[in-house]
Amino acid sequence: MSAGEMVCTACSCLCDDIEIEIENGRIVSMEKACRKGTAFFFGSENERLRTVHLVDGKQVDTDQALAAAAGLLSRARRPLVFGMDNASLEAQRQGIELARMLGAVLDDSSSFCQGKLTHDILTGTLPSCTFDQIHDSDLIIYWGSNPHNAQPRHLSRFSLYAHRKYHEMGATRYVTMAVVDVRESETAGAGVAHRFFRILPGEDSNFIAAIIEGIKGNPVRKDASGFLKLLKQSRHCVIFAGLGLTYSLDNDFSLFYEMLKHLGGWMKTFVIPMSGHYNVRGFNYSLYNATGCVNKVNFAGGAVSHGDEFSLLEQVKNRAADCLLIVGADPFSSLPISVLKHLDGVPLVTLDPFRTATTEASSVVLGVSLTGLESGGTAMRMDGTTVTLMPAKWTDKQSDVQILERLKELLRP
Amino acid sequence: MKLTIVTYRDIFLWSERYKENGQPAAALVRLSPKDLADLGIAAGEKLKLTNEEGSIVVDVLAEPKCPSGYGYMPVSPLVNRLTTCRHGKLPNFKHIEVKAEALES
Ligand code: SF4
Repeated sequence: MSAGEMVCTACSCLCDDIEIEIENGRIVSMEKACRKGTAFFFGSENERLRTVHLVDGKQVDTDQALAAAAGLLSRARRPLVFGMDNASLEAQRQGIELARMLGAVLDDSSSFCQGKLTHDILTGTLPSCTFDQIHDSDLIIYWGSNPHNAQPRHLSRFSLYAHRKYHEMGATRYVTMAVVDVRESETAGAGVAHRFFRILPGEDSNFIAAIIEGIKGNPVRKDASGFLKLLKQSRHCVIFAGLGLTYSLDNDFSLFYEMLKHLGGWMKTFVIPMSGHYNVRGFNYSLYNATGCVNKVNFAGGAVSHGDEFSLLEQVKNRAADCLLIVGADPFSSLPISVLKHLDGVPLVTLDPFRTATTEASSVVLGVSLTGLESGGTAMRMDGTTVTLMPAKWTDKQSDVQILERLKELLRP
Repeated sequence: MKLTIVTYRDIFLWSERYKENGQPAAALVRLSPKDLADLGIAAGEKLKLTNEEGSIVVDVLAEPKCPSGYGYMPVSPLVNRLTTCRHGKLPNFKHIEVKAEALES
């Protein structure tokens, strides 16, 4: 039996206190992980849910799968590399180099999630902070996010319940938590949030506009004036911006930023995007370091260009790509079928530790180890902190880093 | 009846995904009691949701605080049979317009 601590890679909280016991190559216990993390790691022991190397549905060895993948990618005239949000920083570096070598378009899920916010944090235009700095805050706002389901230990490990000034039984409250959402989620209700501001779906921009009017001293709707009162009592606020906000604003944060600018007159406000996949912030960081862009880049002709036309969604809708390399991502589960149908006839090469709707649709599947449990590396938590991943369990599967390195060798001109 | 479906993330997405039967909890919509009454159905019955992209059948749950005219559905490949993505926009995961019809039980 071996016992130790590991990092959970089931979400971008990257909880690093997970206690795991392994006996005869199998997990016998896992402490401190939430329901999501536990399901993720115990699920990895179900062989039916894991990938093997496949070419056109037939199981093959690593060399055969790599040769088939390299053949498809080398014949492609307009390859697209997508994903890597569930891959270590080391794998991301390999993937970016491979995309550059192929002259491919490269994108990840941040182009339809939190990429805009992360870009603005990396370029210094949007103030953000780390989880450690949350202890200075007196107001925590979850806006369009429900960590109870998506990042289940977020409150207990990093925000409200972990706050040094939080006292469950205390008569005086030093830190307040508010939720802005369209639905009374588990985070918004059940006595978790101190204040809940329910807005109608798609109404975030109206709500923000009303707050700005309120700051200017104009009369505003009751909920906005209540929200403003809360802000006025605060000196240091952290906003956890969720996908609900991003989608409601359709990725146009100009009004939100205007509100932050107005608030800057009397308080400090920091924004942390509520990322989903464990290393999506790392992907933005890795690509930004390599190209100056966080997503949607094109390496065609040896140069780097950037634009909305290089997002996965636009590439697929315009049938622009003739072969996709998908690494640690499952677009077939998360995107509209009306978009995915444009991929009919386009060969897909997918690296993933798990069988997914995307691996089922792929011509070549490369079954890799599960990073965090079976292989190590580094990853970037949603607040920009780098976390080291140490494997807890032996596997005969190669890691995504090793497979991408070998693919690069095969494709090197 | 016309409804706007708003998707949300449910923990089952992850906790059930790694079980044998996939996502049993995906096929549900949460509606206001008023809309349930207008549709003439009770919680637990089935509703067909249709738009130009496709059609799905889901179980109905009552959510007292859901505003009338809206329905909440968990993110899943099932609801993605109804979602779209217009040029230059994000997918309409938070505002999927559908026609809702009660199914004979
Ligand atoms: S909150 Fe996220 S990282 Fe932490 S245990 Fe749960 S799934 Fe894993």
